[in-house]
Amino acid sequence: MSGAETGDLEDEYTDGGSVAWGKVAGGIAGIGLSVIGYTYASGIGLVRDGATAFVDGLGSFYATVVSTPFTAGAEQFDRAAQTAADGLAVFGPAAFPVSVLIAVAMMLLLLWGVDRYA
Amino acid sequence: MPRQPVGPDETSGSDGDSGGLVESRVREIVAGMFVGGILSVVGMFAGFGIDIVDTVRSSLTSAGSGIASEAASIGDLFVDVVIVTPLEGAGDLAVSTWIFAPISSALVFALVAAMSAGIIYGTWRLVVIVT
Repeated sequence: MSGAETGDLEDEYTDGGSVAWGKVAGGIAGIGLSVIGYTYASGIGLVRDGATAFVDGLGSFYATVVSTPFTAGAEQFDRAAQTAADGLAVFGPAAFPVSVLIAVAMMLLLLWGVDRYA
Repeated sequence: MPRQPVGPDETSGSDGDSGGLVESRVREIVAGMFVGGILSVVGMFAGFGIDIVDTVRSSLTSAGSGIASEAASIGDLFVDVVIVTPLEGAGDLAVSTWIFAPISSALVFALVAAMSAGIIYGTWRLVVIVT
């Protein structure tokens, strides 16, 4: 290998001609763009998750507000009915006939109430 | 730049040569390693950037769920104070009337009806105001 040829070789190794710098720069810019795109998508996802959670929370709060009077009221009705049923013990052996009378009276009351609108 | 032949053995990299490295291929490999190194460094910094974005996102998410949890406990408090406690008071009153509890629990019924009517009216007003 002669000196002149070696000089040519060195030129070819060092002149950078074999690296397409424009394409490399394009790749680097692409990586940067992908990070920017990821950031943007993350922000959109964050806003979407927040809006979903807010609407869901509002909906479930409203459902609770609407249903709580009925569930809590039903509990109080249960308590009152239980207390009254326990109170019937004061009639001693007559508790059973008395409770039958009360049941009949309640039924008549219901029928009377329905009959008013018949 | 056209490659200049340096010797009879380096000209083709074909079946007819006598083996060895073809320096044009070596140049491509070295250049590829060089560019690969640059791109991997850039990619590493891009990974740091993505890590930062993820960290910000997760901290914002946990801040949001903290706020949501506080809002939920305020909502529970509101429901307890405005709805459950008055009904329990009416229930206590009904229970205190002993065997007449079924009659006095009409107060509970009236309270439930009033609350429901109020909630429906409030919803209607809200819809009217918003729309």
